[in-house]
Amino acid sequence: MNDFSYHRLESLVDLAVRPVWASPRCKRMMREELLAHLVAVHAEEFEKSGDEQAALEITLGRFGAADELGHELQVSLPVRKRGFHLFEKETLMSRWLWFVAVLAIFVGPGLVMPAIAHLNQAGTLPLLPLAIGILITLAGIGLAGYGLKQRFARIS
Amino acid sequence: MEPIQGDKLRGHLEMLILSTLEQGEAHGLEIVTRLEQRGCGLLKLKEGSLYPALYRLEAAGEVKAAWEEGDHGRRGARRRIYQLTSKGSRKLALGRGEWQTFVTTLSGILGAPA
Repeated sequence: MNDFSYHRLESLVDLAVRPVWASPRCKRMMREELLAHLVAVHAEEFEKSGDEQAALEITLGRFGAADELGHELQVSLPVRKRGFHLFEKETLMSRWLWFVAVLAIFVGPGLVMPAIAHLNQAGTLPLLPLAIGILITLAGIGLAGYGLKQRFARIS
Repeated sequence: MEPIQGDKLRGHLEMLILSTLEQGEAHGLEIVTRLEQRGCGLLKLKEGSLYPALYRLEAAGEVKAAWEEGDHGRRGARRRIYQLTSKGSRKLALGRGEWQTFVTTLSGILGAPA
């Protein structure tokens, strides 16, 4: 099989699987299995005709439309497999990012609040702890936002 | 004879898959081949639609699947081998009984012997 045909089959699989609301692991499994099927069908058709393009057309025709398949795949998944992917295991790096983000969100206000309390009691604002506290809090919120963005990018 | 396809097959696909797996474990393409052979070329199935049915059967515990060893020249894409479970066998037996009743009833109404 040439690269063009392979990529065409890959994109058909991707069109079908990408919109499915499922865990990344589940979608990887679907992609691999569907692609294996298509590659095998293409090999079978190529053996019959010896024509790469004709084999590709017949393979696509035998498989069916991507949007219809995507819908059927979605419906075939039990509800528990559709939603719980948000809590699936992440990579080590991503976990560390989450850990740092949550820590920063707790530690930052731990510096900001006493600074504001000091302002109320003594009438002066300790600028350095306040600035550091705000920076740490913002960094934590930024990291958490980045983590969420990565998470949703992986799902889609 | 007109080929049997689309909606006519949809409601029966899961039972048909279970019955092909009764012959022994198989991957998706092998299941399609068995269906076509047993349907004497009259069953026309969009092959992609086999997989949602297989996933439903797997989720229901009626078949179990395992990845095959190696990709056999399919550029890293492996197949999953499906096997009928005892729950699947029971469902198949039940489905056969229901089908028999359905056919007997309808052929009586239509006046066409099964």
